[in-house]
Amino acid sequence: MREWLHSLRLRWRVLKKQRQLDRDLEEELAFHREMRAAKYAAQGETLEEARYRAERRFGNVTLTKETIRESWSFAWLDETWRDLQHAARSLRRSPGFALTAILTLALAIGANTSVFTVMNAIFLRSLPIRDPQNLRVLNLATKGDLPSRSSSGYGNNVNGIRTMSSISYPMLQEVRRLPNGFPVAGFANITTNAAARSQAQVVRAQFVTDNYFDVLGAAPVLGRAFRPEEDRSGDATVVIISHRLWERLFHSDAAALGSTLQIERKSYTVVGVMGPGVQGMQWPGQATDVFMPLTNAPAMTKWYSLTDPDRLWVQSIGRVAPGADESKIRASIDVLLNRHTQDFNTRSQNKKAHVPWIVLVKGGSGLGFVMTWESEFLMILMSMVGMVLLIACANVANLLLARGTARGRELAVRQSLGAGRWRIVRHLLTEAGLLAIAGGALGMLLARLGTQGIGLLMRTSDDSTLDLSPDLLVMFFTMGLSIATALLFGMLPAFRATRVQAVSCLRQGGADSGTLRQGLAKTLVLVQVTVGTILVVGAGLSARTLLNLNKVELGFRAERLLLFYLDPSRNGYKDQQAFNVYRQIRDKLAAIPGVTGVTMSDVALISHSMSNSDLFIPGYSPKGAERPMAYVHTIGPNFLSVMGTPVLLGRELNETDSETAPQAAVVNQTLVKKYFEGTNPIGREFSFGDKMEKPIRIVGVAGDAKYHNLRDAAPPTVYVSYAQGEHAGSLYFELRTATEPTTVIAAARRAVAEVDPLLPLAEIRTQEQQISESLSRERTFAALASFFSLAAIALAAIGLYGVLSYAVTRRTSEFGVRMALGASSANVMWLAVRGSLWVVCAGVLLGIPVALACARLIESRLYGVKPVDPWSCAIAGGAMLITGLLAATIPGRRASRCDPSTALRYE
Amino acid sequence: MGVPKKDEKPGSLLQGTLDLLILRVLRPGAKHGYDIAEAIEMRSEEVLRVEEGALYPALHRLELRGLLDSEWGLSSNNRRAKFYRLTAAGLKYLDEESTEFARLSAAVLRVLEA
Repeated sequence: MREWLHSLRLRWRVLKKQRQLDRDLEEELAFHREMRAAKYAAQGETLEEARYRAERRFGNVTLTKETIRESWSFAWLDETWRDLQHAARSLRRSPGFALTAILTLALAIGANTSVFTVMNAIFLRSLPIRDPQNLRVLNLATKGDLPSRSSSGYGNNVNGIRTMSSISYPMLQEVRRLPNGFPVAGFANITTNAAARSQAQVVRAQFVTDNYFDVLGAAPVLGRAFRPEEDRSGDATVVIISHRLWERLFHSDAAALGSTLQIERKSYTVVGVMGPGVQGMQWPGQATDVFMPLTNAPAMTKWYSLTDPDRLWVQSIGRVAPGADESKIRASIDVLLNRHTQDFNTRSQNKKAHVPWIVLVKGGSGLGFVMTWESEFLMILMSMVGMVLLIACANVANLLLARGTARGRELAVRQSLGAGRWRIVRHLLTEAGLLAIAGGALGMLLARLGTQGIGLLMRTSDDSTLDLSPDLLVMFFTMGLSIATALLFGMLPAFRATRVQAVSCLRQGGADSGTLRQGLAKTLVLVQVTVGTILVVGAGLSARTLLNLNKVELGFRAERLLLFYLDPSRNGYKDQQAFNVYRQIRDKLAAIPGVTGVTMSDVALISHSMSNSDLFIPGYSPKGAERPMAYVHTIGPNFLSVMGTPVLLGRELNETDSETAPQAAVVNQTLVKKYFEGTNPIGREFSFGDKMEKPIRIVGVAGDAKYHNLRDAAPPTVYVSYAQGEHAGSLYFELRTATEPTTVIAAARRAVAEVDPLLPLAEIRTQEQQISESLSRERTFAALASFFSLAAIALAAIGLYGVLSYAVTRRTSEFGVRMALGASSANVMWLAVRGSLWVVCAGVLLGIPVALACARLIESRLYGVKPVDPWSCAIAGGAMLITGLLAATIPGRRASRCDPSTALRYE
Repeated sequence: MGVPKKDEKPGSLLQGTLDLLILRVLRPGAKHGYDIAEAIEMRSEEVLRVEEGALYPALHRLELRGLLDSEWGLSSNNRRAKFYRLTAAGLKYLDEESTEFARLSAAVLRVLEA
């Protein structure tokens, strides 16, 4: 072992000095021969004879030199280097083949890497925390109703099981007190205004328990975390800020510690700064700017309650000890949930809840895993990309096969000259490897573009902090993928090419009969066409979905409408003050030239957020387990007329519906049909939500309008005035403009600033932009499906062209004979392309059923199209057939132009 | 094993044995390749003639293994030549392998003469 190391060291040392080694060796051996010659001369021979004898005695100098040189070199290194040079040379001689193969690989690998990078950023990349694999996010799961009267959070609905991210504060306290070795921390998000050194901005704040950073596994890099007493009083004026905020508002000044931050007109002391990249538990792409103690929450958002056991708003995380039994932890929490639900059912009169159970979701990468839409989307994306990769690999395999066969003669000669089979295989594999490396390198470049593209498509907010930088994992994945592809698809041709019987090959003067090779090529083309068909059907379905959604009847007029969000309560305006502020802002906005109408609402339309509530309608008896329910829209005066929703009966809500006026509501047609059996409801009273005791009078009926998204039909809706609500919260303003909405943005800002200069406008956009954003997923899907379909079609065309082209070349003599015997050029052309066109047809016939089966999996995403959509299938079939025909024309024409005499002479 | 017979191709030796012989003649001091060959011939009283095509590869191999060190110097007639000498590892190897060789050859002789 030591000897081997020693030799390694010596050989390494002379690696650079090859020529010196050669010269020395030459000198050494020459010296020996001269000494020998001198000896013979001294024994009495002539100089000539002596030298001759010495040379003969020495033997083969060249062989000796080579033997010694070999022992000094890294033999395999030499050979590999020579292989690479040879491979590069032969690739350069066939630039068409090389470029096609490299581009094909680059496309496929680039696409795959982009998707993988995005998946990595969202799902796999761990948060910069301690032991991310032990972090868990707690979710409630239930098959029926949750034990709550109101809740705020998010969840999924999969196979009838609903999940809920939030629990109530009393529940959190009980879970934390459980002696099960599972520390739990709570948190909740709000968006609010903050100002430091007179720079105001909207910040994302997270209320956290005092043990949050412990459980999360990230400590402040400056200052400290919260103390237990700060999370008890409810009015602690301390905050911890994020690294990003520290850089932006405090310019990374260490004196930020101890300085003040104004949040909602209240001063807080900064006691800690988090490290870079620590965003708290958030959605991918969103970051927390400010952390505050959880008990401060009710002071800032009245709806968050520390005492109400039935109000779910606190999200929670926990840390399992390594090796702990999670089922025991879950069991202990489930006992708690059981007791809590029994209590709830005893307390509540009309609602019986099912006992939920606790789910511990891996939280090491943030909340991305909890979002099923994102994960499903990326899964679908990965399968599409995988299919494109498959096609590309099939193409490359075909190319390599063709090349291997075309070089059959050359390889036969080499084999007969003594090259070992392994040697030739290694040479062919080196070629494939070179192609792979070039393709992989180009693919990485394309991947950067692709990643930006996907990131752009998926972005839903402007300050997304999704970290899409490529990392080592992705790069290794890419390189590994490309090399594996090349080796895999280079192996088969390499082995096939060297199985050739050298003699028969030389005798035939060309390639082998290649029927098996043709069969293999045809199979690969079949695969390509099938996969291409599937992709085109997918693209067709998603495009039609998008078109249908764009054409949907809104129920209001979306054009020339500017939206923005204000939250005066964050600046300390309470109740009456807030109403006054809203009125002032409204008046000033209405005075802007170019603005024809101003109104407000608690949520923007088609923004995926809404609120709903239980209804109690005297005179309506619910059938069975039905719970009367309506979507509630808290609006400003003249909302319906400004938005363009028709008022069918009675009147709409306006300024007269103030805080002092009697409670009034407008309902929509669907609600009337459902709960009033279509009779005139004007004047009738009902109550809803938390204020079951205060009845509301119906004063008008509005036409149906879409509420939170485009897909769902207009739900039964109740419109109430914001001024008649319990407290004034944040509102979205809608401005109807005479011209382009963006032209009034500056004037709107000025108007609001006149009322309060430290009140920022947020989420400024037009209603049309809002709608378009709500369709971003569908748009993304359609765009990607189309892109991949085009790529698949292009690749299939290239593949088909390659196969046909080669086949025609091979059969040139056959065509020549046929034409000499009287076949027309049309006959010959048909003969040439016939086989491949059958393959295309077979591919389409195979692909359509598979595509339809896959379509059933994404049925929930479609809108206005059934999975078995004849249009999409027709387009797919047509596209592939046309592609096949186009790809076949050039080789077909070449076949038909075969000159019989030249063809026969060729042989 | 490598003990040559009279009518065998003169001087053919197995590689391992050649290595031993080279190491042995280098024991007294450094020599260049030609002198090594001559020394082996002389000490074997002309019985063993080193195959020159095998000598130099053997020398380089031994150097790579660390049993020899090499150095360029001046020969007795003022010509530049590459001199080889034993390393400590080489000396150790020589002692061990010579003992082994002697033991084995003695055993073979015993069988042959029995």
